[in-house]
Amino acid sequence: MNPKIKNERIEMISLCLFSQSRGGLGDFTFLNALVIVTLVLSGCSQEVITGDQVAEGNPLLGNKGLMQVSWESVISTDYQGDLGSLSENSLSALNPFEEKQRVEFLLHETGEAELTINHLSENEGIKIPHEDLPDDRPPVKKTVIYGGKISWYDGSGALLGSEPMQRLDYSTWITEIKKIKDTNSKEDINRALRNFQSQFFKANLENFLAQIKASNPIVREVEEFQILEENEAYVTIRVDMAQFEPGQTGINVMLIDKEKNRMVANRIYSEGDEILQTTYYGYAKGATEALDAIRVEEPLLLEEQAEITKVTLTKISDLNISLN
Amino acid sequence: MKKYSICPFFFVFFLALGLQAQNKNTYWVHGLNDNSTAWQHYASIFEAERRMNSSRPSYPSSSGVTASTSSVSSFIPVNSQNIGIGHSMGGVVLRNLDRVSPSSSRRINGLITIATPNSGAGIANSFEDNSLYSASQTACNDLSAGPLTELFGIPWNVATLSFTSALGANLTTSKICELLITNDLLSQYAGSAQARADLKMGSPFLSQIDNYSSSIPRLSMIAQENRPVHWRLLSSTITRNSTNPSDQLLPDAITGVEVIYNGFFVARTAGTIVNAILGFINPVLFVQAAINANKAVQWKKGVDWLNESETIWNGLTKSSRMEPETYWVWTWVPCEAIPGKQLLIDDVGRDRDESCGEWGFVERTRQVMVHYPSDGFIPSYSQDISSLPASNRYFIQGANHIEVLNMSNSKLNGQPNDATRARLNEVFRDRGDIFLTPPR
Repeated sequence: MNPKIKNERIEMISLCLFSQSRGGLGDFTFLNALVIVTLVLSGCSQEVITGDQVAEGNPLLGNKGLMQVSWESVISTDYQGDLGSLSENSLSALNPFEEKQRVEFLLHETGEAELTINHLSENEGIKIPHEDLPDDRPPVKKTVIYGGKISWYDGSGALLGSEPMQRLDYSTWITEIKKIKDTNSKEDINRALRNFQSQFFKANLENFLAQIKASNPIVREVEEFQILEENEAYVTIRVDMAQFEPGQTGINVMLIDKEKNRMVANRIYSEGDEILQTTYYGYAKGATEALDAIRVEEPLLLEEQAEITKVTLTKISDLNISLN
Repeated sequence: MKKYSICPFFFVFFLALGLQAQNKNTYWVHGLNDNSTAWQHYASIFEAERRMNSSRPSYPSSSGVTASTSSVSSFIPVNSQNIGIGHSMGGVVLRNLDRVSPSSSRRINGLITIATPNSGAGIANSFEDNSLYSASQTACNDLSAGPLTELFGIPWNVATLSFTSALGANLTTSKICELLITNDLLSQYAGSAQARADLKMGSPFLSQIDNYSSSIPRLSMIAQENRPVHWRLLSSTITRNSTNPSDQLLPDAITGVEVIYNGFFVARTAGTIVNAILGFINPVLFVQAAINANKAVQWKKGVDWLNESETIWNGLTKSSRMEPETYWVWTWVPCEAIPGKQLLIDDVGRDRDESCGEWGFVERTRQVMVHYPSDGFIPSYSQDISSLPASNRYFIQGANHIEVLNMSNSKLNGQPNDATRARLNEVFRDRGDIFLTPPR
């Protein structure tokens, strides 16, 4: 063993339990509940490398981490509806805005994520006249979240500020990724991720739907899923958010393209059946059908009775995802 | 005969010299909800530098302009060498004093208004019509939406920022909402009911003052703050009585808050993207994509509010106007659009557009807010007195409403900037009228 790498025996409760739960990537809240329970129940442990060691540069992992995701996005916010019926005070908060970012997300074996955001430009197509007024603050060009802090830099790379922040703990993802790696060949995974060939895993969706339909006790974790409608092309699945994640409320209805084995939309309703948010997922046309659009529509509650929808569009390009 | 004819000339000449040699009595009048300590910085500086006796009257601003005028009037004895310098409401009080004083017994013979709402203070209107309170509630909702989604997420505790502790609040609690809604800071800015009635835009009282044709020299100093005016104003308000007053505290700290909110937004977007893709392999992860998308949107509310907060504030202070703006944005229409309220498969993509699923760059036109320069409180157009000639108008660049009272620590483009002192020096040094005050 390399002496630089000090293996620590850390109770990786989530890893053990999560492999048996329905869990998911980013399911932090569910994990937290599990952590407490499993502290008592689980004797499972695993050798992991501490974040400090990763920061020093782990010769075994290199700098690749367990998963790398990067993309470039143009995030634009605009509003639709009868804007003319709004007061000036309401309109003042509803200006169009656009920002271009390059994001690099690196998940280390420790479960800590490293997030780097390069702020490329703002409002390229939107001229906001008031921005002509002087502002002597240096613009933030880069943000890094890693190692228990968030830091931001100007265009020359000089540190502008830094604040302590909890580490981005994605240890649950490791379980899911390992599960995926255990049940699929590396070639299949890489081919799917490289070319975004979602249909290659259609059998997984079919199994998933079959499990819901059968209410098989083995898959207790998907009991809260309910198929609402299904035809040859699509299936809609209802999920009670509160059951899925403590602290969440409302109902999530997902629209899944069965042919392509991918989610094309989901809508979140309040407990009172009001639409809170609709999200559409777009995929490039062509040989590589990468995720290239996320469109979120959100009805606004304004003092005026006008129906105004906030539309946040994320244009994704140069998306790369790899599991190491 | 020649001897006699020259005498009156010399008499007038020496009289003029004598008058000029006389000390000026300068009355530094504070603004709304302030007190006589407000002007102490510049009053002492100029009293030390120039032949000037500085006095700082106090008045009960909450009782309105008329009562305040009486109070200030009783403080100032009649003297031909009296100058009044009024900050904010103090400028209105001095203008009213000029209006109501008989020409035979003028209290002031020259006045300077600095950052004064000569045409009204829009914040008073926004307080009266409840839009200030409504905007505060929206701010609270938008800023707390993201942190609330992480309420149960132990790893996602929102960082406690150093600036927030200075305000007695941090983002993990509802304190930020208390600060915006229940804290009396905003109502202090707006003043008492009587003061609001007198000082709001469209006030009949201000019209009376504006319609009065004054015969004394008057100058208007117009403060124009750098962006973001609202955070700089709040910074100056918070730190004005500290040993190190600064307008930079919040702009720097808020940059950190913006970065954090955007960091969470991007992290949640990352969760959306990764789960939407890995959902190919394990469809359960589609739910996580949806949850992450929902959380990203909640954080985006905070990001957007922080982006728009200056525009919102300027709307409340009437430091903005609506203008049609043509702009270009990316657009993408989903092929699987869901037209109805319920997500019914038969409706999916019913009204499908030919261009669906394709990115396009489209031109749009709509009304957007355009900012006027302001001192954070009063737009430039309202600080101005339109009847004055251009030579009686001075601009204090890089200063906000509070900061004009003590600019020693101010910076403009990174350089020290005491523009208030510089402009007043120009007046005392270069003017040919009553404001001319020789050095000691």
